[in-house]
This record gives sequence, C-alpha cells and structure tokens, in this order.
Amino acid sequence: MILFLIILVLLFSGLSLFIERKAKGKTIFWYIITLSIILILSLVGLYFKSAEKALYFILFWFGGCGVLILLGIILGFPGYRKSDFLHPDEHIRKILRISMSGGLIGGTIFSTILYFGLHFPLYISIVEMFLSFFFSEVFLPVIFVKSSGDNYAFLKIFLTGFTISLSIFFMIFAAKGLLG
Amino acid sequence: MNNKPFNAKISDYKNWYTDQKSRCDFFNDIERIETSPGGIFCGYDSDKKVSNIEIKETKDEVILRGSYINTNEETIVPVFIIFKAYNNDTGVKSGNLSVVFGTETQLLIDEKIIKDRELHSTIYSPLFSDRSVVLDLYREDDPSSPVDRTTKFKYHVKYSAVGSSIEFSGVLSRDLDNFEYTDELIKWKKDIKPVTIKGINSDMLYAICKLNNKWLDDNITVKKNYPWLSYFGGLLANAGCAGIVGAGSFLCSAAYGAINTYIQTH
Repeated sequence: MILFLIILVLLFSGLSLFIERKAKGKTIFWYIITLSIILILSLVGLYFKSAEKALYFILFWFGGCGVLILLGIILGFPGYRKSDFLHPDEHIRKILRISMSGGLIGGTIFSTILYFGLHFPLYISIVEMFLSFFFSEVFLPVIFVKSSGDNYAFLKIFLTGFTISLSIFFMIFAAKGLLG
Repeated sequence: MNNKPFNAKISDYKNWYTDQKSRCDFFNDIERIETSPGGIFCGYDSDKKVSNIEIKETKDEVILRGSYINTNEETIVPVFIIFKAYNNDTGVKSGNLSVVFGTETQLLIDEKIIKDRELHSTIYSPLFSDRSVVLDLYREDDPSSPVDRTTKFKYHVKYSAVGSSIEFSGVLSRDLDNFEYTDELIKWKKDIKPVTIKGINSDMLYAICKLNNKWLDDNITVKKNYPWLSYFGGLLANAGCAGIVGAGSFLCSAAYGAINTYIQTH
C-alpha cells in the first residue's frame, strides 16, 4: 500500500508539473500545496469503503474546485482582467483556467444528474466528470489560443467548457439508448 | 500588496520591447499613470520600428496618415497616434492624448482627408475587437477658408476598451507636423503639475512609455494596482487548480481501496 501511495503521489505530482509546465508563474509554494493535497486525498481515498460515498466526495470536490477557480477569476486574479498585458504563456494559463472551471462545473452538474437523477452506473458518472475535465483542460486552451489569439471572451471560453460537459452528457445518454 | 507609487524607470526595462516577460511584468497591475501634460508628443519610437505619423497639409486639405510597424516579433504591437497636449497657461488645452489604433502591419488610418468640417472615424483594432477608437477631428474656424499654418483643428477622441474608456479633446497645433523636441516644450514640461489619467489601458501605457523613453524616467509616475481582491482571487484559483490534481489521486486510491476490499471479501 505504501508503495502504491508513493507511485500515486509521484504520478500526480508529475502530472501537475506537466499540466502547469507552461505556467511559469507557479511557485514552489503552490507545488508544495498541490503535493500535500495529492498526499492527503490519496490517503483519504484508500479509506472510502462505499463507492457511492466516494462519488459524493468527488462530485463535491470537483464542483468545489470549479467554483473556486471561477470565483478566483471573477474576483480579478491578475491576468484575468481584460486590460492585462499578458505574456503568451500567461495567456494560455488564463484560458486554461477559465475553460477548466466551465468543464468542472458542467461535469459536476451532469455527473450528478446521470447518477442520482437518471440512475446510470457509477463509473459512467465518473467518466462524464473525467471527460468534461479532460477536454476542457487539455483541448480547449489549445483551440482557443490558436484560433482567437488575444481576442478572448471569458463567457465564450467558460461556456465552451460547460458545453463540452453537456455534449458528453448527451453522448452518454444517446449511447445508452443505442445500446439498449 | 501596496499602493505606493513608484517611479517607472524605463531604463530598468531596457529589453522590454524584445523581452515580453519584462514588459508584461511592467504593465500588469497598473492602476493609473501620472505624467506631465505636453510630454507626449513624439511620433516615433527610439528603435524606429514605428514610423512617424504624418499630418500633411496642402492648400486645401489635411491628410492624416497612419503608420506601419514592421516587426514580426511581437504578439501585441500597437500602432498609435500621439498628439501633443498643451498647457492651459499657454492658451491651449492641457491633457494627454494617445491613441492606440491597431497592431502589426495593418494600416489603420490612410489618407483620411479633412476637406470639410468634420472627420468622424471609428477605428476598430483588428486584434482587439472589443476596443475601439473614435476620432472626431474638425476645423475650428470657418471650414470654407483655406488651410494654412494658422489653421487649428479640434479633436475629440474616445478610446474604449472593455471596462474602461478614455476621452480626450483639445486643439491640434500645426507644430504637430514636426515631431522633434524643442527647448520650449522641455521647459514648460517641468513647470506643469502632473495630471492623472485614470483607467488607463495597458497598451495605451505601452504606447506612452514607448514613445517617451528618452525622457520619461524622471517625469512619469506609475501607480501599481494591487487590490487585495486580486490576491484573494489568485489564491482561490490556484487552490482550485491544486485541488483538481489531488482529485485524480483520490480517484485512483479509492479505486485501489475498492479493488483491495473486493479481493479480500472474495
């Protein structure tokens, strides 16, 4: 178990570094915070005996993170103001976070609907959440940076992240219908 | 975390034009800029990447011609027109006027001919569709009279960006076709109390600093804007991002725990 934990922490720390590699403003402080969260949540995850409770937790956590990011953006985190003159790397970071918050909030909403409202299997709900996060985090920033340059619009990016969650939701719904 | 003004030393940012990071560090979080009226009048930058703004005049017309910027190394390069502002004491309106018209190599004002009373032009920057400059330029005297060196033009410019807009108005002097410094200007520049331009946009400041880096060091005061909300917002956004990565590890360890429990019970 300890070996598993070490691997997990290393894996996700590496992932964190990979995701934020373009964000040069990331400080050691935040790496330590991230590492601590990874460690704590890994330990917490091991002691969740009920899958349903784990889902409750992860929905709460993902949604909370999305709301935190959104709040941070709304409150005017440097770099999110329209008039800010951004380094291109910072620009990517800005877009990334806006789209991610849209994807996370959408993912939380639609995962909840899937599992608790439509009684889909648990793993489907997790897949919805994961894909929403993944697409809004990885693909959107690249698309927006290449297509729109500096002419970004907060709502546009946020809603696109949100719409991705909605699309995945409909795809899952349609797949269920197709597969019977 | 403080709102203390600091003197913007352009010399500290010698590479600011080519080093984007330095430039961004400099321009972010600027609340307002204080400078002396009349200080902003130069029509070119020191490294000659922005050509002069020409105001050509014939017997019966005035031609404004915009400038090209011939560089590919910048993400955002404003083209701008700077008009000189004058002191009240000298009988002309005070204030600073700087107009950021656009980017890259696009010619944004080309031969706008002022034949009649008024020129009204709305210019949209191609890169920033959310910003615009409205320029009204008109003859102060009888528009039917011929244009000569005594002719004055009134201008009114409204620069709008999301969240802010700046309006300037004043009188264009014929001195504007000569973008050289004069002793007279330098003299009264030092005598005038600073004026404050609020809500200045970073790219406008960019233009101002860029044009004035020959003498700006001791005349410009830039107040940094560090509202606590921005820091709090940054804290929240960073915490959210850190939490997301942690959520992945939770999922993995929860799955590991579930599999372990399943193996033990079967």
